[in-house]
Amino acid sequence: MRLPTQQEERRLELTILPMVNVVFLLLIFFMLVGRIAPYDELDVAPPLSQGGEIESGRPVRIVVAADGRLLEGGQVLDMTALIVRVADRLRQNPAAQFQLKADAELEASRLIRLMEILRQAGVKQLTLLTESSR
Amino acid sequence: MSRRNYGQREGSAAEENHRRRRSLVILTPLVDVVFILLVFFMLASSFADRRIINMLTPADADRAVWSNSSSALLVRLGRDGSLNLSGEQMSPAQLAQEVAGRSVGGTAYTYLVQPDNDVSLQQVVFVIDLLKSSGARTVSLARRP
Repeated sequence: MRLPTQQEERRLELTILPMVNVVFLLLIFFMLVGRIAPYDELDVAPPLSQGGEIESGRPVRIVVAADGRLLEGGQVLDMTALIVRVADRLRQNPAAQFQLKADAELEASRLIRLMEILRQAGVKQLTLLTESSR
Repeated sequence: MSRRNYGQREGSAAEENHRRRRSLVILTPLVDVVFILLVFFMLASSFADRRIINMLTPADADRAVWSNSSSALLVRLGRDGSLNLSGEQMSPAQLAQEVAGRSVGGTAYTYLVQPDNDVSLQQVVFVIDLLKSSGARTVSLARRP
């Protein structure tokens, strides 16, 4: 095997260093700017919105897929199971905030029906998750 | 030892060579790990700009309507995207104008958006955006009775 000569090694080192610098910068950029969140088991695309407020706190998130399937805490639930779960959450923390992550294609009247049911279960703070279109 | 004078003596050149190779050996695994981290963060992080819309739960909205019925207005949203404010058919631009006109007065109006069946959530959010950007402070949803 032919080992690289001194000159070649030096050249290699000189070309690799700027690349390492750039890779480090990219790494720091992605670490700071990106947000790492667990994926939801259901594939849901929230509606686009121009307005809206910036998310704050740690709300209880209820995912509603376009076909009406419900997901909370990583489990697909039916309506009665969801109501039990919501009541549990409210017992643990009476001031719990709830957030609906619903698909843009979901029929709006179904979502309103769900909101009514949640209110009957005692939910007072409810927000709808959107994605900024700006 | 300066880098310029390597090769002048046999021994020092070999030493220099050795040192240089050692520094490369240390660099390579580091670059590998940094690359793996970079790929992980590129794939795992999401850049979507998440926003929230505060919702009055429907019963709160009902209360707002019935306690002061004069200040609540119904916006009906048809399947074909048609808008209807308190029984008057209007275009999105007309609705925005109407809402902006009402927002300057002293009365705080509550807008109830009532979508027809088969209207998608995206359309409803579009109307909520329109109302809020025209100056409506309280917007809520209502189901067709």
